[in-house]
Amino acid sequence: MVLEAQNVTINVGSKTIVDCVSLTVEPGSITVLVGPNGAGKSTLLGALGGHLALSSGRAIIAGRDLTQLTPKQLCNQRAVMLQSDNLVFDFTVNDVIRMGLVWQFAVSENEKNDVIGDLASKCGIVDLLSQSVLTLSGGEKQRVHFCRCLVQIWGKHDRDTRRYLLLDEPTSGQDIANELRVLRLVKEIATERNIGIFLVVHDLNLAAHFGDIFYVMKEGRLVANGERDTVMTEDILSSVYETPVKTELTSSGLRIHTF
Amino acid sequence: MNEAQREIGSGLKIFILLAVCFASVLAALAIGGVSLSLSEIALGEATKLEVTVLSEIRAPRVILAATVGASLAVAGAVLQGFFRNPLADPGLIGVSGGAALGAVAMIVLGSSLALPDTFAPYTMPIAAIIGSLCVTAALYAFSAYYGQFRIVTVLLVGIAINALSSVGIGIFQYLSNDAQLRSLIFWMMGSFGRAHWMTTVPCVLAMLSAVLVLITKSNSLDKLQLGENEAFHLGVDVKATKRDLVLLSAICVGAGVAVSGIIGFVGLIVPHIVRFTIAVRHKPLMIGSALVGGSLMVLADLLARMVALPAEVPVGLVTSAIGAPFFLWLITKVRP
Repeated sequence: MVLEAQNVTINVGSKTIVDCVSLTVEPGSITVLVGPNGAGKSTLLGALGGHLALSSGRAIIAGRDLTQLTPKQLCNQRAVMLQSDNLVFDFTVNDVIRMGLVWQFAVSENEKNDVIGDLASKCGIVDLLSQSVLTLSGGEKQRVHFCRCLVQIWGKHDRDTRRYLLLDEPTSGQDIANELRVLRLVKEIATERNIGIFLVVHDLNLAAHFGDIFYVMKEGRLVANGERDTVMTEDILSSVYETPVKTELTSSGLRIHTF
Repeated sequence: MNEAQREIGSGLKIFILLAVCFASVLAALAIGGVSLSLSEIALGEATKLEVTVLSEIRAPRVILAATVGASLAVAGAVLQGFFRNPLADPGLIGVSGGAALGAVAMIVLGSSLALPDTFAPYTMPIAAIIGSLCVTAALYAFSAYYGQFRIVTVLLVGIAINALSSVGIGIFQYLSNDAQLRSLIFWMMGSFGRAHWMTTVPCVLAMLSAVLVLITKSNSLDKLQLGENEAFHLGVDVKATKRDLVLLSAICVGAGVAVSGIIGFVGLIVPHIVRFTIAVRHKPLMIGSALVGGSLMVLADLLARMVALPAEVPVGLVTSAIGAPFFLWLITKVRP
């Protein structure tokens, strides 16, 4: 029971943004997608999230085509964090996080508050709960949406329901400490709650450190996929980014740098 | 403050608003060219004339004003949320204009349809609802770009649509005869002076049901604030929700315009007042807007009736006098 894209192609106008890509996200592990700007990473995430229509191919969650499931059924199986900020009215942080309360089974108000308080403090936004979202910095807003997505997949579900969290550059607005905070939390929920993570990220060092399975895209096509040591290599990365990339195995892990 | 305390807090405020709304309605029933003692009427001590004034003239008028105010305010809140645009108002973005065009077309062309008189209270509201439905759909089609809106685009498209509606209305004015023209002008200014039970009841029922159904959509409308894709990820059937919101807000505006003409700015000001004082989430926002809108309109109509006795000022003039400066202030705050 996995989340997968099978030969997915997405055309926008006459342009092919994603070209026949297949990818699998397994519960309990972090599947990382890297690639240069414009590679089609967010578009592929849109296909897996179900909000972009496929030109051909299939997106499948737990054996069923995404298009066969209602938004309500889908929201109990996966949460998606996009890189967007559309709020124009003064919702409080608490209001926004509570929008993630789409749980399948009813729980008491106290239990909801406990989960929200717990996750908000893990995301480092517990002191902001009563503030207006519009007063927050970009990084804080991003963590609010991250927290909302965590709340969404936190609820009690059928034991058989596998859940997935799709993240589009969740750390783009974060400082180095919060970058680690967010990704450590992602790792924790993957291993402890058996949630499948699909992570689009630009920072190759973070990708290498936190990822379990790696995919590399360029110009809409899949260039490589597999384990870290076969994918995150100097050859593959240098050719994909068209820049000399050095990799170095140190005592603390794989280091990837360009100078 | 936790969630439960907040609920109680906004519940209390809404209760106060309910009391204010009720008091405004009573005041508007009692005050007027003939001042009435409601207690005497209730105790059966009033003259027959006084009872007739209350039941046939003042009651339909006040009830209509309260409903139209509530309905326009809720439509304003919904359109602001739907377009994610704090400057949206049914009047400014052309939805009222579309309703007016539909209604004017029915006034001028309706006689040639030769419909039985019993349909008369329904044909104009239906034409007005269709008019505002077309405008809202067109606004969405022209200003949405992959589910995203820019604040200015919605307003600019609204200007264009308003201009088109005026062209249509102008043509119908040109085609109309004297009697039709007089009724057109009276009605374009916005007034509750022609409220009769016969024309009022169907529209009031349509507006109240649309408002009630809209309140049930508040959760989805909250999620739409995050963006259409985000709402979808949170389990909202975005397409169905958008269709319902457009249809129901068109009923709110169309039925209101059909019975009272174009009354501007209520849909703009009221939701902002409620956001400042009660809550931003759409459920308390819509309930609060209905109550504030109802009270405000009843009081504005009372002012319109009393300020130049025995003559009457169009109520649209009163609301625009309050609303236009508020709009200017809002522009400096939002900076679109």
